[in-house]
Amino acid sequence: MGDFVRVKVNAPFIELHSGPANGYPVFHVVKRGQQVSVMIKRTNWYKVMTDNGVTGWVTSTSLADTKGASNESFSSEVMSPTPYLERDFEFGVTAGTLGDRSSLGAKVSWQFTPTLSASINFDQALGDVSENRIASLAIAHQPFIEWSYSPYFALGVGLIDTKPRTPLIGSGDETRRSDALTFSVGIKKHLTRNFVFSLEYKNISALTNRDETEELDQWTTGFSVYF
Amino acid sequence: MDNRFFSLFLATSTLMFPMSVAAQVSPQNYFKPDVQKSASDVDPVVDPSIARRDVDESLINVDDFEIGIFGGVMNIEDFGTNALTGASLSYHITENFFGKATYGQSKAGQTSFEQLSGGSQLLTPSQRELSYYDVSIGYNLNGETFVTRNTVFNSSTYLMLGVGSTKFGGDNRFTVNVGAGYRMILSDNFIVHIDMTDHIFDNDILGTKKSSHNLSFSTGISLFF
Repeated sequence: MGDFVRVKVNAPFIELHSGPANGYPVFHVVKRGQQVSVMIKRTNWYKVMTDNGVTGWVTSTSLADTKGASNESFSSEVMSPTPYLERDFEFGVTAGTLGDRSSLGAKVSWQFTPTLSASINFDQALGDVSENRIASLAIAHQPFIEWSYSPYFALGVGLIDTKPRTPLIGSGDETRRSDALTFSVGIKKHLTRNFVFSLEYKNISALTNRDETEELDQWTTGFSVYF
Repeated sequence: MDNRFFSLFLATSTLMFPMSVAAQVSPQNYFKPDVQKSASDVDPVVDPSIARRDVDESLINVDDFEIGIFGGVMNIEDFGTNALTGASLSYHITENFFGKATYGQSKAGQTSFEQLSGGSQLLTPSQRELSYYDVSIGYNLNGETFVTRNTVFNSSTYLMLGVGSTKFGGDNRFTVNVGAGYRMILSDNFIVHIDMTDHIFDNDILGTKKSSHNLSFSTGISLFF
């Protein structure tokens, strides 16, 4: 047990559940002054082992009532994930519509200042007539980071591929590629732990070989996880 | 470490300070310029209580991810039931909610028409390859499973809803997937699970466009890490 974090129970007692969820029954208690080893963390739960070898799951709030072996603090502050405003990376998925097509997307963003982030986005829009794939790089600005529902806007450049559907038009493989400029506005909401919800409108201007610029409207909702 | 937090905190405070002042200029105050806000009404710019990281938290193994492989059967509407293999990656958000990304592949058989007509083929061999990916949100109904009188494992039955893309008949098709599954946690990080999923996508291979239901049934193993 050498490498486990050892903590001393500071509350009158902590309750050990048989599994990592509130519904699991409490089958053991550890009294004040006794020590436990912290083995695993899963979502908001810690698996601990008592000195008698009993293992069970405790919530992060009850573990906050413990102290490290030499009385260091083991506060819930220490155990909470990275604060939302100090996030570095965000990984997200989106679903929505691009014109009259259904769209799916994935993005990775890097928060290089509290208000500015850079992202790589991949979107796939699947329709009855054609399929679009869009890859883009964007810079986003989120001016009011402390707002619960915080607006942001982003500018990006990318490539858009358009592939006609096979059964309807010819034998396929006539993919057209054009450059694209994107402008998006959206709202982000920090939900719980390291989980963020977003709603976004994106305007995509495809710079086609033909004379006119093709404008596409994309509406998406997304979930992301930050670290 | 403290320095880094302090400078981040300073940066955020500097950004937030003008806004907290702006927020206090309510319309009423705006029309009463003689109302002065004293300095003590403004939130302190620097909060001296900064959390100290004393316990070495990096020694605690955080197991929020689950990676797994599965195998089973998939019924592709009109094209028979065939073998399915795939892999999945889940992230456990809370004790109840998780996000899951799945990739799977199968190969379509022949329709009844193709078998009876003797020779005519609706799809080329490469168009018969089916592969899909999807991203789902799942909800756990946590519980315990008593295998024998003295053997008990934590388990959960879960419901999933997601969207994705299925490549079949030479095209990618937008897919909605609805499913349910059951996982039994055999040790700290080893899991066996069974899943049933309906993959719903529009299909026009047989001439008319219709919404097709493609059911898969699979079993697999996964690891928390």
